[in-house]
Amino acid sequence: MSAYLESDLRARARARLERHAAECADCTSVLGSLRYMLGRLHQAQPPDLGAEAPQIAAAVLRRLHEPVDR
Amino acid sequence: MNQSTGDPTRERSLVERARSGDEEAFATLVTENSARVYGALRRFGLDQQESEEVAQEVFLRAWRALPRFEARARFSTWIYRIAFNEAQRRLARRPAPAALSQADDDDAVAALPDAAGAGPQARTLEHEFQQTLQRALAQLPLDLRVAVVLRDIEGLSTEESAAVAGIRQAAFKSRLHRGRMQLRALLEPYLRLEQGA
Repeated sequence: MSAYLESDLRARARARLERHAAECADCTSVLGSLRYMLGRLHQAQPPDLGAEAPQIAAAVLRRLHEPVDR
Repeated sequence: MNQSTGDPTRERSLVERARSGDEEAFATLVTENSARVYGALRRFGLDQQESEEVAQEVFLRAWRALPRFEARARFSTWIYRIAFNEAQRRLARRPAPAALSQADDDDAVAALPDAAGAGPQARTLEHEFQQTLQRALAQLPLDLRVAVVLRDIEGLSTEESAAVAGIRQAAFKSRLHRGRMQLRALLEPYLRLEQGA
């Protein structure tokens, strides 16, 4: 189903899945919810780093010449 | 979040300058990528404080490894690879969570009680979705979680995602599909409410 949603199926496999889905309510439902979820994930906002972003850069710069501690 | 953000030519120029020791150029790369690295670390399963600490480690490792960086690669993809390795290292120290990897879809749905309990107003908020997504991701096995995060949330291509995960594309696609199906099962109560709202 993932491959189908990414247009990554060969024509014959794609047609077979579509024929099956047309007759199978469960598969149609799964495909629909997968498609909706992927759309939602693509729009997801990243966890907010907020004011910490410049602080990470500043901390990294301060530490650039630290001896490597493995 | 999308991997396509950022100008590749400008990024290459900054990387070249950083490779020759230009700390200001490297600071620009850090500033421009820190939110992305932090976000990926949170999605991989680290908490806020861990993600801030590990993000620093990621960039310090990148700085030290810059002489070995292959110029044809994207810096932003390479940095994901380092972040993934660091997250794996950190998560490996934790006690194993209750395994969901063997659970069937019904168990997975039952494991997410808060999603179905979202209030009628709150469920429309992006913030609510973020929290629900974060809880659901945390229940996926790490290899499946990373596949979904890289491909579907961070927006890397299949080729880039497989390279970050260190596996072949065919194996990555298999992981991605299993991850999507498990996540769908976990999120379904929430998404059903949202679609019906």
